[in-house]
Amino acid sequence: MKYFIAFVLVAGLCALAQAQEQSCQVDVQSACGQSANALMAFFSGESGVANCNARYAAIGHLEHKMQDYIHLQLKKSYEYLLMATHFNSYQMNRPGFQKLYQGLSDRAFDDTIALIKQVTRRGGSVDFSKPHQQGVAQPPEVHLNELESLARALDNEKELTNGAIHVHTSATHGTTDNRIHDPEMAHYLQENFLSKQAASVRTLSGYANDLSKLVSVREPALSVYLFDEYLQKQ
Amino acid sequence: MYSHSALCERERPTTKRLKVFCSTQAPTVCIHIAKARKAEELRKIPNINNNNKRNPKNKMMKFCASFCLLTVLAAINMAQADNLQCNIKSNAAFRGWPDMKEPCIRSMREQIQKEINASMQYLAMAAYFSNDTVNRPGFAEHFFKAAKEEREHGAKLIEYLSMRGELTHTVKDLIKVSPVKVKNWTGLSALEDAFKLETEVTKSIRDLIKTCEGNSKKADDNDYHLVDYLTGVYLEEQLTGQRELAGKITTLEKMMSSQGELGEFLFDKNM
Repeated sequence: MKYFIAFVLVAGLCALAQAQEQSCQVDVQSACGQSANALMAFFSGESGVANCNARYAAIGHLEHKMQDYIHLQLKKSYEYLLMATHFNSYQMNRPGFQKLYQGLSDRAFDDTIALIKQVTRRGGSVDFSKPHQQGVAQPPEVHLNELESLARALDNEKELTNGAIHVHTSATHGTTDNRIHDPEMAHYLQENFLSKQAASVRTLSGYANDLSKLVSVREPALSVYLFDEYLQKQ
Repeated sequence: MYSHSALCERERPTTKRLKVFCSTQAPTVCIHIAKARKAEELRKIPNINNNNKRNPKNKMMKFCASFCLLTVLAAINMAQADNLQCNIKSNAAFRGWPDMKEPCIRSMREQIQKEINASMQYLAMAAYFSNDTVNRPGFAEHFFKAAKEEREHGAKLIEYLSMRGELTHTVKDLIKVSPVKVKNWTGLSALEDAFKLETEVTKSIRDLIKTCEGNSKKADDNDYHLVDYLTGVYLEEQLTGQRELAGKITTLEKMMSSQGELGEFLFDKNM
């Protein structure tokens, strides 16, 4: 009987603790040992100030998508680095193309850091301890000719754009599990990624079309040389 | 679960289209020729029956067949002229160059991967210290910077190999992005891990130097220039970096031993 009463008491306290709104202030009060909250916190197995976090809105289901996007950026950054290296070899010797891809690689790496900062600004975290499907896909083909490399880069840029759009869609419509909106995350992606991506997609598609016209002649070596010189000046 | 790869399969036609465009149209040509031949053979069948009659129809048929063949060939020619010339070949030849030795190249490639791994490790640390519940922006910024630096070290080594005439056909598997160890660091433990990592990198550069010095008595496999570059630029940077980290560690350790959490808080804000 004694045990039963104790059990009911504990169960009741736990239920009360659950019902209580989980907020930073409640956590602080219990952590500081004020009122009945301390007892509740003890029974519900919570301690510290776990609710004093920066999480709100849709960060819960955006976190993983942002993590995917971060890994994608990182992978593309190294892919671009290898493309730049390919054009830096004495056999290719295209400093303009090298500059283009080195620039894209640096940009993707800076974006990786910016995205980590954004996720953690919103109380999320980024995990680098697990092998990631976006990060360890089969090594990319980097031994491409000039036009093929532009095509590849354009496809890459579209993939990166779609990654941003995917997170943006979840932030605005909450299409999957719930319908929580996250205007801050949506705004961040629009401002810092979507417009920039639109510009780089357009630039690369322009390059690809220019160069494909230039190589439609019988002996295109000079055309490609001049196009590379043009890229150096960009 | 959304899959980037699935999406890109759907929306990634440019590369493939260009590949088809750029490749020689050999298969199509074959089909054309095969068709023309078949047509010719079909036209020949009635000719066998009427062989002795030698009617004008026979001549007409022959003419028609050859005309068809000519049209097809002309069409093929046109198609080839439309084809893009995407690959530009070079026949340049160099004697005795590139001249780097195989073991040295292999060690350089390993070193590049190590620099990239170090960069990933620092990125993970930076991400950890950026967490709202950890909140050590000074440490986070420090490790973001370190991650960038390590990546640049890797890139510079890659550039060096290109300068020496390497990396012409072996770029593809140069870099792998792999997962790293993640802990619940404190400021001090992170700096200590960083110091350990830098020590490992320093040791691995020393080994690399040894490999590239070669072991022949006449020193004809000694890669003087690379050895000098690694010693003068990379070891220099490693050693000053280690000294800087060691200084930070002792300062933080002193502050922590007397003031605990306040020590780390102040150290972070002044980093």
